[in-house]
Amino acid sequence: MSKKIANIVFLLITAGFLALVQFSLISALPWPWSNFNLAVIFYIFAFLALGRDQAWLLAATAGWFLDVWSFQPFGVSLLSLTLSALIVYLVLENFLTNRSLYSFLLLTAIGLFAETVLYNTFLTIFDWSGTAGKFFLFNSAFWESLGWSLLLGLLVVGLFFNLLASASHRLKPFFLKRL
Amino acid sequence: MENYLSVAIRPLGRSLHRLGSWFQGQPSDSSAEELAAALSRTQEQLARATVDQAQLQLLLEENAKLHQQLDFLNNNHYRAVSANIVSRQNLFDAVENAQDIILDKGSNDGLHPGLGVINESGVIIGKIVEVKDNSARACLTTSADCQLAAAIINGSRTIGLSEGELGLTIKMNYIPQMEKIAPEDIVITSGLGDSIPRGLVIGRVSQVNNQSNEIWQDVTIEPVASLHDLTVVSVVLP
Repeated sequence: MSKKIANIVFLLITAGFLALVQFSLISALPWPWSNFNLAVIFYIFAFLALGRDQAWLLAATAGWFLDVWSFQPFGVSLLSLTLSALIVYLVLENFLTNRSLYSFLLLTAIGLFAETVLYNTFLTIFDWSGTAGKFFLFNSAFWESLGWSLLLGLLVVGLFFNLLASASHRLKPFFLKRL
Repeated sequence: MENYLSVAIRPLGRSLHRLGSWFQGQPSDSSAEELAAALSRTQEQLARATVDQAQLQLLLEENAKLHQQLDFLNNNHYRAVSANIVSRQNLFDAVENAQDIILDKGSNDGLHPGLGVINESGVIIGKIVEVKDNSARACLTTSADCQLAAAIINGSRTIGLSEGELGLTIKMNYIPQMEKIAPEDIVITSGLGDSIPRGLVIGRVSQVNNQSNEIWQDVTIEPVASLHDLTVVSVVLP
């Protein structure tokens, strides 16, 4: 029981640290590096290394911390991260393995796409003042941001997956068929 | 015999040499393991010193900026609150260059929406748009939603409203055609806003767009301060 509590506390602290890095460090990086989405990458790896519940807890807590620190309407990051983690989980559970590089790259792409679209959708819904301007799907800057986010995310996941694969026999950098 | 003696005194000799070397601050032994250990220690010290140097450099830069800010504020008799930038946030991700900055001071420090934010040289770089108890969000002058009451230092002291354009420059619209404006004219805050004093530099006119068949003309203003490497700013209190 105490080990379970310790694990949860550790996850909460990790999520807070992740959110802080995303909030302060990554946001201050020059374009296009500031598009890197650390929270999504981490919950994808949490699905691999820790499990479903831990990954959701990580995503929700990181979102909560981001909402607390930022000036966006409360709940935008929390909802977008949690719901995108749910989508990733459903895809992982029904269609993919959690062992091969390609499934991880696909999960990362799905997670990043879902999170970005959900985030902007919630912002648009909560933005009663209309300062968002043009609807985000028709804004070229949105697609450019998303493209950079995908590129950076996939590069990092590919790199770390291969590093982990070289250290562990659980992961295989090729296709695995579900049996 | 000499060899035996050498071997016999080695431990004591080593200890004594180590003691002497310790006073000199030199590595004490010549054995490979100890030299390797000494090298490792030195590398660790070097790494620590490098980190310390980097931190010192950052502190020196921050100190210089704070000094500059203090000088500017004292010379101009402004009251201000210094604040660190803790994050950059784009509230609407789809707007690439509409970045806001998040400050580590808020309403508990006397900040409220509308106050001007200046850099270490006293150039206005933005305006507070939202505050929490211990943090505040400020738009940068180059953001489209950041409007400031501005005046151009020309013969007729043209006044108007400046707003950011594409996150790169600033625009001043709806200026009557009769106003004479030239490139390089300096643009300052007009003081007509509630909370921002007159005379803070916004930028310099880089382009005047006037068509003879138009009622209004507009100018493009180039900011005189870099908005990318801000770390410490001051919020000018009324």
